Amino acid sequence: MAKELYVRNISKVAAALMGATLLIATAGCASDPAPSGQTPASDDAQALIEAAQAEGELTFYGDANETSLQAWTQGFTEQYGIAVNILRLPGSELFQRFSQEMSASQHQADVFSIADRVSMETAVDSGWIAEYTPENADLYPAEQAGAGYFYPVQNGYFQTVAYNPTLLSEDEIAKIEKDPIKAAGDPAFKGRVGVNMPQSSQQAAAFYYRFAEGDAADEYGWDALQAIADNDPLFYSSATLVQNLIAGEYAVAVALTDSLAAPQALQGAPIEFVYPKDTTGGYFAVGAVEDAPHPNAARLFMEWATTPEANAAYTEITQTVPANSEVPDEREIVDFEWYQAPDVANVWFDFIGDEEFLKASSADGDFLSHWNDVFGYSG
Amino acid sequence: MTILDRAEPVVDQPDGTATTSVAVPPAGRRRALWRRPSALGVVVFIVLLGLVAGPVAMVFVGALQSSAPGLPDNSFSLDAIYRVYFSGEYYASLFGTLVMAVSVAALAVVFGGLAAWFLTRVNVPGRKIWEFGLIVPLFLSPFVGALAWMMLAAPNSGMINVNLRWMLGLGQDAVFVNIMTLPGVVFVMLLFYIPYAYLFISSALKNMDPSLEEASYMNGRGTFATALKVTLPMMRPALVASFFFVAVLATGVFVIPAVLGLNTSFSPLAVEVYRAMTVFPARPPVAAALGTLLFWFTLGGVYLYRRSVRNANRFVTVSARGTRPRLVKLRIGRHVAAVVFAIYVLLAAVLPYLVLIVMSLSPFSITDFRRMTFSFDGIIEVWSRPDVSTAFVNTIWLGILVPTLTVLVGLAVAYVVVRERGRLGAIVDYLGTFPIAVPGIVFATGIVWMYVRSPIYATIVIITVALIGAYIPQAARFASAGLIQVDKSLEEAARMNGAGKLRTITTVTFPLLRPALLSAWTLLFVFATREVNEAVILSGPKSRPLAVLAWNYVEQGSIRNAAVVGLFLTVVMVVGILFARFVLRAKLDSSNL
Repeated sequence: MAKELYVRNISKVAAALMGATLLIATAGCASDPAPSGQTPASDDAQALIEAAQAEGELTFYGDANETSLQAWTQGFTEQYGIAVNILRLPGSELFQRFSQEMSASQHQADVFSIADRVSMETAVDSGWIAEYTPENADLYPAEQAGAGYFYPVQNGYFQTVAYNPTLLSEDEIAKIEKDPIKAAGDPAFKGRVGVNMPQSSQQAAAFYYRFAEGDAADEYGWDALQAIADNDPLFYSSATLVQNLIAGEYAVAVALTDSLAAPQALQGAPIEFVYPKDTTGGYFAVGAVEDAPHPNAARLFMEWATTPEANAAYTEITQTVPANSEVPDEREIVDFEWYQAPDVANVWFDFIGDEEFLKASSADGDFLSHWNDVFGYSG
Repeated sequence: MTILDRAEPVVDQPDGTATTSVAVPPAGRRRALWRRPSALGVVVFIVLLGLVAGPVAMVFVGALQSSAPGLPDNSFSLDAIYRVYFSGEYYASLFGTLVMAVSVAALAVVFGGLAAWFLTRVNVPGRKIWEFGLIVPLFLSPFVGALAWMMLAAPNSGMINVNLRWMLGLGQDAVFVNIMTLPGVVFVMLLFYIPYAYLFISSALKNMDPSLEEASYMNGRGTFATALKVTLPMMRPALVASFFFVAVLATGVFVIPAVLGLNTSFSPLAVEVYRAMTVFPARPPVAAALGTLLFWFTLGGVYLYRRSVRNANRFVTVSARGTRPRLVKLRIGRHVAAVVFAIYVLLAAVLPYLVLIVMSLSPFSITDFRRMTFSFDGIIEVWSRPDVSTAFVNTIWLGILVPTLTVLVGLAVAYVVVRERGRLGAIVDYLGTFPIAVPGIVFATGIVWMYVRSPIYATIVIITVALIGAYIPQAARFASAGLIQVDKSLEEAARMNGAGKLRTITTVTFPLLRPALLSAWTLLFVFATREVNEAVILSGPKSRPLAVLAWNYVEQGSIRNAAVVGLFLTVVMVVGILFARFVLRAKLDSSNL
């Protein structure tokens, strides 16, 4: 199955590349008769491609799943013959490393991609992200982009409650579908719950914060989290959470990211998931790095990544909701009987600008230590 | 196996032999302390400053900052120190770490000691197999081994539990083994630390003067009375030394508890260090401060270890190595021992490798034999990664350069310590011992902070530099053990005939030490190819070795691909070990320790 997917991806990516080439060609034709001394776009594009190819390679820093990143960036390599070196680290570590390198003028990264938008905005404020607006920038939702700096070309992702259907009865699954947060705290699931720790990412922290102290606190509050804690959950980081759920170490996973769960479900692994109605979401932020070792390749990558074709390829690989307005939502996961798309209107994206939350979840705040106390987690 | 032996019993006799009195004039013992340091000693000292003292000092600097050294908004701050040392937040973790390290060390010494006694004193059937089987776990990356054990014995999804349940017709709640507990973590650590204790103790047992045991037998003492009343007391320094050595190692390891122990009642300090570096919100100064806290405790362990090593040689007669101790005939015991050895090899080597093979062929981490499907997809996927060939090249680079250079530096360190001595020798001795007191992840962070502005940053060179620093104690230990056994008069004869120091070392000392140095090379080859703790922090996108690829897969939950890389890594190691064994004619056993 995995092989099929792989082959499918390759063909999809190949199709995307042809599309992209066509697009560049047509864009070139259209702007050929450009007036008043402006350099025609086609010449610009061609010059960029040539300069990028002369640089020959590109270093991509990211915190998304490495296998997904590799399958996706392979498309860029195949189209332009520019090798992509990926450095994948967990978000927090990635940002530490990137900050340290940029502060020391040790320029390694060409493209910087991170799920945590607060980190990306810090990077922009510090002058580490190059100002660059790709041609297709307008196809992305303005509120999820940092205009002129970064764009959500790797789509958004949402926190889910996932479960292993082979370990649950129909009644139990119905319970989870009705209200996944309350279900995770139902004594019926005692000893069968795994949780993604809020320390995994700011977004995971926001997920718990929303139920405990945010706008869903009236309905849930710390009591709902205490109920989950009373089920003696196992603690994981997001990536190991998926594997252990599939392996059957526990049956219900709280706060698992859909972009990790969906590709597994598509390949036939025993995993399904539900979006809590008050879930949290975010968009990957991707931008070219200032003073990058391969500046043209970085800009060409941003051009490529913002095309509908590249976004369609990423959507296909990760089965996440496409962010590019010209990419139709044709994900196979939508056809699964159990799949219900998230209620995007009620998804909390704004945690990145919520002062109270940011303060509470910082190293000096009390939210994480409170969570640790409630869950009896010693880390 | 690590750390330098001082050559007290052999060269430190005030009167000296005829040869020593030539080299050191009468009353020279006092003056030797003030002897002018040699050029070699100074060079070695400077090299150690860069490789060892610098990074360790950077960790202490980092602990006194408000954020990672080098960041723009950084300032002097005692917050991290306060938090780690005085707030009480980490006391439970510290206590748990010490208890864990001490129990692992005690058990490793008991089992390693018994294994060594049986294999050197009892005619156990299949002795050659067990001698090799006991050190096989050294060839497996500890985190790969931990991963294999998680797949085998996780309480709900482990292969043993899942499959015994349906075979025996029991319900979902039946748990036969649970590795994700404190005893489970200790068990897996034991599998990887028994070989160290075994190598250490069996070397002492082999070098012991057998005439003492012989005398005990002559006087009518039985096997066990002799073992308890004669052998054990004489082995005490070696036992104590290996106890502290393993305890120090166990304090610093984070991969095994990180893979298995997220749900144990405490987090070991080394895991806390890793978390402070990696999880949100990252706190590098806290990681550094935790590193310094670990440093004091492991330094205490190293001090005690050195004290015991100093005495370890007191009863060792190098000249008597020709006579082999009498083999005890245990009619039933030897078979029981063989069975126990077989079980150990099964648990520490055979089962983990079997699981690794099964996991690399199975698309999801499904452990129920009835639902497993097999394919080569994982192998194809990993093999077709654009960077897998670079990873192979990087691993081979590390596997060749790190052991070679480390052995040379280790030899120089041992030479200065054993042959030249003096005050500089003592300083070099301590510096050469330091790396073992610093957990790899902390040491690597110090290296990053020190070299972030240099051109070698994020290249394979910086990993090489870090690993050489980290392994100097191991290399120096082998070299100094060898040096002590080589009679100084041979070198002096060369000097008397007009050869320079360098010439003497290359033409006399080096050839005589060849076997010991090749053993060191082989062991360090294994360490360098499987190393993760440091490489994971130091490598850039193009300098990642295979072991880091495997760890990355673990971190993102792709166990199948991690298993595939683990197998690739094993292939590299087996090729390297066969090369060392048959081309270089190196022997990796305890006789050269």
